[in-house]
Amino acid sequence: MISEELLAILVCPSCRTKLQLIGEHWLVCTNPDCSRKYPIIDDIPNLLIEEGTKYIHVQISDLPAHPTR
Amino acid sequence: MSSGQRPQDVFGQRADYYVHSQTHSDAEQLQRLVEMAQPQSHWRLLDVGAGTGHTALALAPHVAASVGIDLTIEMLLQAQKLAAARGQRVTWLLADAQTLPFADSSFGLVACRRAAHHLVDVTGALQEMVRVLAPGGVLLIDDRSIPEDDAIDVLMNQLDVWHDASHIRQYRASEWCDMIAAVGLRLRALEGYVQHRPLSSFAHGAGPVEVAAMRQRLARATPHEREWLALEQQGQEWLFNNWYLSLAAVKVAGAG
Repeated sequence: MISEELLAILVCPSCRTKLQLIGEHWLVCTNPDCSRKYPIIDDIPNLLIEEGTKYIHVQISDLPAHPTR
Repeated sequence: MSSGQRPQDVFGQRADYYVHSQTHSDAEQLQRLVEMAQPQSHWRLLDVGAGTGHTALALAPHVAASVGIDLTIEMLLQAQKLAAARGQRVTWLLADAQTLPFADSSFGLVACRRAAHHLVDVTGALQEMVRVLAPGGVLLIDDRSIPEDDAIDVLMNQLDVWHDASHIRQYRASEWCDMIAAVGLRLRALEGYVQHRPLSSFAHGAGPVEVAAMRQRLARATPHEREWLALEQQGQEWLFNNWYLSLAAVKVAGAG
């Protein structure tokens, strides 16, 4: 689980905007022009730009509840 | 990059070895790094290229919170297991040293151990580490290094490419001084050390073609190279010097 304290310093690696925790498994860039979404799998967030880019066009409501590698 | 192979491909296959590798988990050397860092209990730690977690886990007891990043998920899964076995709490993230996913000035201590020689753009990564370092914070580097000798520079970097196709370059102390100055940090301490290691340990994980290339290269070492390496042959085994360097540098207020 991502702590509030960690969430406070996390930013999108692409545009450096704050990330929002959605449920337990997604960190979503709050910049609407970026919209990258980063999965958390096995308690390890994947904050690589290319990973976030895969989900740019996926609506938050359509993100898989339990992302896998 | 020597052959275009990515670090996560090389280290995904070697994650299990690095948990048990003696040179990487050497308790005395990690303790020396803790001393050099002079960590403060309210600091947050970032370990860049955390691998299987040895450095983050050594520093974590001395700071308030710890984060370890790596490009290779297999390494982080090992780190996660090691932390759980020791009852320690560190947050592990898949992230790239060139594009750190942290706000400016987030960390009192940024460590990078045995990883800088893999960085394609070491200056860019150092700039990122300085960006996320708070004013007054410390950058702690430990890495393979080379003496100030052109022939040994070429030889050791060639051996390391054979050992690991994602190797970029191991740097001289003088190069580190220049790089630290270039990113606006004040060097507080720099220490070199040498380990006389067997080829069988150095070459662990390398393919048979690469190991054969290393043996042939060592067999035709010049007298100058033999002297620097303190090269010894014991039956099928070669022993030779490996150079390392540790440094601590401070982000002075108003820099970066």
